[in-house]
Amino acid sequence: MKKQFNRQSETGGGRSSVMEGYNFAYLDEQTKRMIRRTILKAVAIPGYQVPFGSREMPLPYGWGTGGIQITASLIGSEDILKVIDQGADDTTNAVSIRRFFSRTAGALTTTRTREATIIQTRHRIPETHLTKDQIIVYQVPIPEPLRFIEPRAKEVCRMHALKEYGIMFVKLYEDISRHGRIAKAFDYPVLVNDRYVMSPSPIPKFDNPKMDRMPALQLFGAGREKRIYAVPPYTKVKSLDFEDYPFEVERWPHCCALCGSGNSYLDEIIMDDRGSKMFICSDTNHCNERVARGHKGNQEEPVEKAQISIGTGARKCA
Amino acid sequence: MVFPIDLNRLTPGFSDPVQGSRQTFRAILDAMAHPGRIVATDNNVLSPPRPLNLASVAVCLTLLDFETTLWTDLKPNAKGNGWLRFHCGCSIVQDPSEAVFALITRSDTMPALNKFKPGNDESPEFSTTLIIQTGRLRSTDGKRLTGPGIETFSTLKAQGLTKRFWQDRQSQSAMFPLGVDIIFTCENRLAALPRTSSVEG
Ligand SMILES: [Zn+2]
Repeated sequence: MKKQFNRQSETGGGRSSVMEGYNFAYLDEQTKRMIRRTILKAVAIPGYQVPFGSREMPLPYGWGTGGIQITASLIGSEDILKVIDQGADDTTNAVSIRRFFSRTAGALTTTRTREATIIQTRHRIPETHLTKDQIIVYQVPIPEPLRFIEPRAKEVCRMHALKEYGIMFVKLYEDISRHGRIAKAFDYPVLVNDRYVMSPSPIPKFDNPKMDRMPALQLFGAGREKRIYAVPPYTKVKSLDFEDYPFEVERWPHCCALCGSGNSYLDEIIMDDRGSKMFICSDTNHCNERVARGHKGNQEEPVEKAQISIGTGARKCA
Repeated sequence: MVFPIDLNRLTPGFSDPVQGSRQTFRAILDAMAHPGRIVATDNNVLSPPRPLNLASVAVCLTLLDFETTLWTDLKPNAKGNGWLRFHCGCSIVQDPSEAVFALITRSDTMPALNKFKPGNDESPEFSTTLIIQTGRLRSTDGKRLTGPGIETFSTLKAQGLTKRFWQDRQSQSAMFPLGVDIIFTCENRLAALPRTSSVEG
């Protein structure tokens, strides 16, 4: 017997009847074959961006057409799909994508990270540890980590071919001499399997450590830029850093106001016109599940001043 | 030279091409993402001409089309070649170094791995994917694999592979990120050995 997965939830979850007059999962079979071949090469060459013939999708670029094309090439009626946008399951973008696959592929949908077989994401990795045999599909706007340092595509290609990444380290070191630390807080570059420098997509660098030796398969799709890349399960993913300036993730001086979590990525919410603020988990599913288990935050006392510090020490929270 | 296909004796491909190729792709992806893991392709309705096995033709039906070239070790006029040309729409090439995919039905007489495309420094994906039919496949013992997709190590035994094959594979490792990716098939089961896997034993 199949379990019920939010069939009646307001996020439009569950399986609706597959639309007639459409190709299964929207894409035609020839396109799927081409994307599937690309995905297999991407898995065989971790971190390397494989070019592919991206198709027009019925959604504007920026809505994750690269991720959608990957998901469309994978998904079937036995899959359970979760879609998040900046950690939230209920944004217009996430709801639309879930509905799209529910209608074109008959897939079940869920907001619960643990239940999902495929998680398509824009800009976050869930707080709940992903497990083996899950697949996470990242929507990528700009796949080339060297783009802003070396605009010449041919030269960039050569640098990847020869593993010549000195220029990347020079750029990061310039940051340190100017700001005292590496300024990049999102899309922080990583080295995959000791070979290719890769863009993790615009996730906060807080999420970078989750990519390292993740048991789930990680697939990345850039629709406009026509690139697919991958990190197989249990693959080494190292955030670039220096011996004297090791990689660090951001920490907050407070806990989630709703669930009290002290080790999740927090969003700042403006509470009123006097500028009082509240910090809550960006991962809505993680937060809701904690609240449901009885964890409580400190909602009554909005924090006066936002202060994000860098460090590795965890704090004591509820 | 292109040989005519005997349409009267052609057995069918996937009964449901959309779901057949989708399920097979997930099996191949699962195998490629977990080197050494043996997975089943769910397509027992296929009845390919000998000596092609179920998993090999499922892989071909899933990944090949008019955009891909195929090299096989069958005789040019073999039924298997006609079947693949008809169902996949792929062209069959004589030179392994021109092949995007290669299908090997007799691993003991297969060409050296360096006869296939290894890709190039700027486009390592332009390499041949080999589908090699083997005798019994098992994961309880055999070669010890490590690398991406493998938590600690996995083991894989594919019956019928020669010592020379494994020596060839060993010398390919030094070429990474260039190199061929391999799918072993036996009956309706398959396992993968991407270029990233280190092999011992
Ligand atoms: Zn929370």
